[in-house]
Amino acid sequence: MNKTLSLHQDLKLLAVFFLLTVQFGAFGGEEAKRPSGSPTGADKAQQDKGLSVLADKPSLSRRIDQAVNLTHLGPGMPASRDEEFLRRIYLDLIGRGPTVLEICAYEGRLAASPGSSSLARSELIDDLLARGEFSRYFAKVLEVMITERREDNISMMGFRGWIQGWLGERRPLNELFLEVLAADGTAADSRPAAGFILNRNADPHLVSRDLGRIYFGRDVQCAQCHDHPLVPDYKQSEYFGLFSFVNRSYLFMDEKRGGAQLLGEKGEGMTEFASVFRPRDGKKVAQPMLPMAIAVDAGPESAEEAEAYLVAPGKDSRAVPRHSRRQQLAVLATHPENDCFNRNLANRLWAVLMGMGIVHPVDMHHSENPPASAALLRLLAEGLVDCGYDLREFLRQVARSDAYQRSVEMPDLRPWAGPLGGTAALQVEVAKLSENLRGLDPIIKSLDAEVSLVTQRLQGYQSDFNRLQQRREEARKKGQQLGEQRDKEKAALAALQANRAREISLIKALKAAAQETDKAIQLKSGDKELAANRAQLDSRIATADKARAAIDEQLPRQGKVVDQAGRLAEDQRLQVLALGDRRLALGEFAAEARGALRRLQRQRQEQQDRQADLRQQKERIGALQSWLSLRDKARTFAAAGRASEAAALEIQLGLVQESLFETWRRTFSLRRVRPLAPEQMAGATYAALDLGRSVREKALADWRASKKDTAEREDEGKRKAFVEAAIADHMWGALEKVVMRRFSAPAGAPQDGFFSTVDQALMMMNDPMVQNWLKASQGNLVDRLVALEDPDQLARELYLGIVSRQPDARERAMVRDLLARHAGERAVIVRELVWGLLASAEFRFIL
Amino acid sequence: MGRRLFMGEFLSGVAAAAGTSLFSHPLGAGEITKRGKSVVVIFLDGGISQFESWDPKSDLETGGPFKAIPTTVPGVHVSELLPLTARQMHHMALVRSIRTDLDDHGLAKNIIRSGRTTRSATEYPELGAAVARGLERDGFPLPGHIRTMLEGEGGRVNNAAYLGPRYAGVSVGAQKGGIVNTRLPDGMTVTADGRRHDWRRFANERLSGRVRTAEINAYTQCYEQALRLMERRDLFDISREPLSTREAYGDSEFGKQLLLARRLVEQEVPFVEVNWGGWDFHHNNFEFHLHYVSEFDRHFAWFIADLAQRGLLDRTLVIVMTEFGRTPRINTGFGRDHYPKAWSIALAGCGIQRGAVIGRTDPKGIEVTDRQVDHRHLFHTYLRAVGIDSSGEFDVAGRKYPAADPAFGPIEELLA
Repeated sequence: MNKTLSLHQDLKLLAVFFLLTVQFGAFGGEEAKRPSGSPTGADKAQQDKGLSVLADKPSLSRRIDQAVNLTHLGPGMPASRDEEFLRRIYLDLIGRGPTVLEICAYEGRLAASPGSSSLARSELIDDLLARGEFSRYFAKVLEVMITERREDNISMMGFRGWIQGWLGERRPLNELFLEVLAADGTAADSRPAAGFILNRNADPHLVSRDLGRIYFGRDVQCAQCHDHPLVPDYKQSEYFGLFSFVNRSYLFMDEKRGGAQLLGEKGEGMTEFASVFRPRDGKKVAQPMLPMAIAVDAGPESAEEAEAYLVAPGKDSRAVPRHSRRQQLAVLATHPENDCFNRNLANRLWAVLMGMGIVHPVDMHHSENPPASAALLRLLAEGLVDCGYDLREFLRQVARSDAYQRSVEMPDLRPWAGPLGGTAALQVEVAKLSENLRGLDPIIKSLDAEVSLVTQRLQGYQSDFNRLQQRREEARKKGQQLGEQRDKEKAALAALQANRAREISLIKALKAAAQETDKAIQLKSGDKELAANRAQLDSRIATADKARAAIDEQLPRQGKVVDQAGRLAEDQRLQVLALGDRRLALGEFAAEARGALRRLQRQRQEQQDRQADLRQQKERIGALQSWLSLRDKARTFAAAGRASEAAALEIQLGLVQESLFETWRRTFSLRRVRPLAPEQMAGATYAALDLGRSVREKALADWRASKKDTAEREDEGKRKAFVEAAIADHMWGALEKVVMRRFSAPAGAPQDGFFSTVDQALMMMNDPMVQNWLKASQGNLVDRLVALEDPDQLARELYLGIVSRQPDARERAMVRDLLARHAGERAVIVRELVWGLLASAEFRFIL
Repeated sequence: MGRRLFMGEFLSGVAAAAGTSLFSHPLGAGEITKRGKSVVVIFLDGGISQFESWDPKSDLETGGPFKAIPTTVPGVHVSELLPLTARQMHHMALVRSIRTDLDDHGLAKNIIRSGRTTRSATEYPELGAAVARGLERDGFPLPGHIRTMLEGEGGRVNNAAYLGPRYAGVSVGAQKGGIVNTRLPDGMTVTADGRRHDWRRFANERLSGRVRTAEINAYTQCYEQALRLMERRDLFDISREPLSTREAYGDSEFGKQLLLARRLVEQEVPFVEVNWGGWDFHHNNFEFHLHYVSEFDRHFAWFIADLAQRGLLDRTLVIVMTEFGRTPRINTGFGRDHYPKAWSIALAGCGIQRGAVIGRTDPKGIEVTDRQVDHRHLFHTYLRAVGIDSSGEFDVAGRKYPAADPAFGPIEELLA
């Protein structure tokens, strides 16, 4: 492997030219997306036909290496040692280091068939991916990625458990991300999925920001109040595009479910925004839209507000809209057509295994922060889609690549002859790159012009749409008033009718009284009082009759008023619907413009990717050139016997070499030393100290006892799952919780940074809990080590157990010496030995 | 590999080592001028009344019973409850025109501490974290962001947001306390401790012979820093002060914490916060302020005088912070309620125009009538006063975060 790369240096340069030719030969074409790959050894045969037959394209891992090698201009980079690979792959896939037994088994496998290291590595990758421990660990990785340790409503354990189940069933990863946006927290089995939004308390600004960051790798928060001051790609309209998808969702506390927080969603509501820097530009109406012009046209909305809902919002009812923007978002955000989603997810998963994204930071995808290799990012995103978002398959391909398996050790450049053809060839290469870059400029410019034309067109439709929307809104408000007027008139009519009925019954009662009075007068004629009563009754009957007559006259008039008000209201309602339909019709052209815009943006992205790759290749060649010329100068001085000048140049050379190595790390031809993530830190500590031994035995006994007479007892898979769950629980309580708090960034902050704090060191040094881990008990590491008589054997177990490798002679001697000098304190010394290795950088980092 | 080479890698190394590399730090320019600067925040939690402190009014309806008295700065008056502080006014400056519009304690504290308009307590770093990051110096053994308490050993507070736990507040007890885990585990001798660290250093040798990175360096250095911190744990013990000093600072909780703050400032700790809770007088505002402000006056005035006479005040910014003011209207219980529309804070020491008074309110204290400012301007001003470019950015593992709200700026006329 060492040889192949340098030998084929010239071929590689040819390959670069070839790639460029392809890029220009087929502008935007399908085959242009695929880098030709570097012709390294075994890959060569495959590479030869790689372009001709798409169906036969090499595996993703091969193509990764082709893309990585294409950018690499240095000598061949060594692969990691077996013990390094072993620790690395265990930590990356199952979150802990290998046990001493597992290391021995792997060594045995290698010893049994020498020369099969590569095959053994692939088998081990498959073995780890098939384990239950993989689902358990990657549930943590994805939980940290998605909720960033927020726990406001859905517990960390709940969310992890849900993901673990999903991974156990091997369901596609994009659907998991879909479910996370779609879930509303009601369904018992998928409630935790709503944690992404619920744990951000459905705060629309927070959710918009993290939707941009976590789903599309675009931190557009700075564009909330104005276009991003530093990143021209991040527009305020993009921020509000995301915002409009999520701002109708709100937190609803359901008393009937014990006060559980759920997501409700409103069926209406527009958002307007204005720049704080340019308030005079006025307000714009936000359109629900994702990056790359992915949007939906507003659905047919009803004329009446109440019709916007399946369940109307209320104090005790969780609103469910007829057309849910969040459900639409869930599909659009995670669809294979969504390039931003694919690139972001591929980049984030790559960063999990490689310690740094191709785009870094992972949430800063934009043209001012180009990927270290756009070709690599492109093929990873395609690979992720091609494998159906199968997490295991994707990780398998990454882990199998040479890029993953390379060493962290910096190569010795002294014996390297330099690239074939020397600086002259590089000079030619730079000239060609510059020429190609110049050729790209007009293409990108014309694409930019087209993009801005179509954007304007789309904005035209949007403002037409907005105008209609506003008219419709006004008409709807007027319709509401008219409806109220109609109801008022109806009420007036009803009141008249009620009055009439009252008058009639009054007249009836008065007439009855008059009859009674007449009867009394007949019996007692001449009674003045009765006569007066009778006269009074007559006059009251007359008054009531008059009133009734007046009402009778009024009634038909009011009937007409009611009819008229009803007609007006109905006309208005129909007009609102009509305006709505007109508005919908615009969708036809808007959708077409969006499609065109998306195609153009894709083309521009491709050209931008190429531009970035060419530029960066040019820079890399520049770095190599300056190193080479310095080295040649130093050699000349040395040959001429000018030692002091040569020495001064050597120092300078060293500095330049450092930056050369850093470019190689950045392009993944040299691996970067990574710190353990908090979860790996916990898992590695627990496994190294073997703290779960007694738990395992107890869990096995529990299993046997509880499944005594059932067939389940013999089900190895279930038994394993049972034991692993018991150990995971114990690990959480014994140390993971504390380690996580101490070693992770605060909830809600990006979780991929490295923090080394004094309080972490103080905890490792002095915390009683850590001292407790070091107590010998029931066959744990310290217990086993104390029992070992032979210091060399002790040293071996110690090093294998904690840093997964054998001690070297110097280390063995040191262990021997310490034990011999403090023979009376053997147990104390063993604890110190274990502690020192746990506190060592070798344990804290992944090589 | 020589040291020079290692430094080269140090420079090119990942910025992820979060601040260990001052060189790649966009705010690193002018490092020398920042040496040794400190910020002390005295947080009067609950909301001190501006009428009974920094902005007294003679208005019959709103002014309350206390008079205004002159200070050492001609023309500047404060409440008569602050007679000793009035004599330190030439070291101080006042801002009387703050309007923030949030009257909930929690929310108001979030914005005043972070200098941003946010509803979340954890979205943005607090001033202490920003100062700890901005004034960070290589190899400094003490935490850069300390919150004092009276007793006990405290831990880390979650208030640094994206700047990371390295800059989060560490709680430190002024007596019988210090920092958690700074004592050796039970039963461990000093000899054994030295032995285990020698072994740890030895265990690092093989790796450092193969690869060196800024992150590995930061990690191994943390243990050495922890050891230096343990050696200096007496710093946190105010009983080490001479009796006369302890008496001068007084026996109250506030006085003891101010004494600890002074010890920390002497050690050039970038940020110290002394928190005094309970300033929320919806009833009997005047009686309570008579007690509270008088006690504040006694200790605060001594603290300023002591810093000045020890030459510390020229490199220390002291901020008397609170989350909002109190209503001009005096309620039926003789109390004043929450009032974010027009209130004051006081500053002293480093980087400010001493004797300055910024802004004013109307004679009844209802509205700001001149030079209205809010939490965002103040945050910029604090940073600038200790030499941190508030329009700059903090680079955290490649992500760039504005040091303060980029749509705002400092109160320039308050800056020295």
